[in-house]
Amino acid sequence: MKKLLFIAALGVAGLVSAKNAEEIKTEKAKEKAPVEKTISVEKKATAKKPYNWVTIVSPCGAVFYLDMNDYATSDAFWADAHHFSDVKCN
Amino acid sequence: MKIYSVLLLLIISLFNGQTIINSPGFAVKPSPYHVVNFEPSSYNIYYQLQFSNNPNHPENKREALCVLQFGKGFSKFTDVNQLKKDSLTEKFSHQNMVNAKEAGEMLNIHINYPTITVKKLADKELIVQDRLRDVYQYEEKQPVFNWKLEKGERKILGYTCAKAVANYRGRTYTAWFTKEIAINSGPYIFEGLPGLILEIEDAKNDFHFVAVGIDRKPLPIYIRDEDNIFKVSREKFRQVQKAYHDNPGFFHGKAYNEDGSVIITKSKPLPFNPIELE
Repeated sequence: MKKLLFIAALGVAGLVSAKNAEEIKTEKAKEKAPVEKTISVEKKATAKKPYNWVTIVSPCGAVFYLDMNDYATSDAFWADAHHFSDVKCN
Repeated sequence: MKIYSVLLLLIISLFNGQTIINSPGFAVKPSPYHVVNFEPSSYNIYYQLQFSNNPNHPENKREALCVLQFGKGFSKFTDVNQLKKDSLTEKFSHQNMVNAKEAGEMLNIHINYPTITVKKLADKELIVQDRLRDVYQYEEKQPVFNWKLEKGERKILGYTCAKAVANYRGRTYTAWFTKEIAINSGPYIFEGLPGLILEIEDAKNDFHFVAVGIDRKPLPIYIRDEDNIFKVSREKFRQVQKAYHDNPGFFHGKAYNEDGSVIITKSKPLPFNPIELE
């Protein structure tokens, strides 16, 4: 009987301790969460933009690719497209 | 399927000799467009230009149709395709984005002669704009040509023309001018004869301008005036022009071949044979 009571007491103590542990873990996790988020945001900010390829078929049939991330506006794009078209065809 | 579409476009491109953008969803932000308008022209004289941009292969000629727009106080000489390109740039500047079809339209306008010259007739001043990768602008006084009249006569566009010869910045030019059109002007920046210059060529035949048509439709004489134009001295421009032709890869961005290799990092020099040698 004593043994049974001891085992039951251990079980209850174990359960209570486990709940506390879960609560602590959750709190710890809650505490950590913003830190992890910050790190992931920082990583995104420093990461290179994915390539944005454009396929250009020049008048002589040669194909080449430009990365649109290199062009804020159209003028520089026209200039490079013409230049590389000339390079590929002449 | 993608290979077939590229092949199809390649065949279309080869047969039409056109540049095609093969990227669904392509969009680029249009560049700004701003001009200073001077006045409408009273004469437009169209010149066929044949020129060699490679001093080692003078037999390889390039061609351009140019126009001299002549007004009361200003004149402008430019490649006709530059006017077409300006018109499209103005149209696109009102849009949020330029799509693939519109970009194709723009890329199929080829400006073989990118130099634009505007004369302020009263002030005897010149504004010169030229495109390397970006546009550069410089101003200088209108040069004085020491023409020597020579014997000779030629009919051009039905006008009787007389002959004159002058040296200018490293080249000797022979001009044919007509007194029947009392305009003191000609192609590029040439002037100083008692009538319109209808034909002019240098002794090496590197640059040859011949009038092919004249009309009196008023066209706006303007100059592009965006903030991204580099305004420099003539000396500085010539330094940059030389550097550009020596190593164009330094000025242009990167492009890639189909196997992913970079087309050029330091590209081979471009042929360089400017109209002004000095």
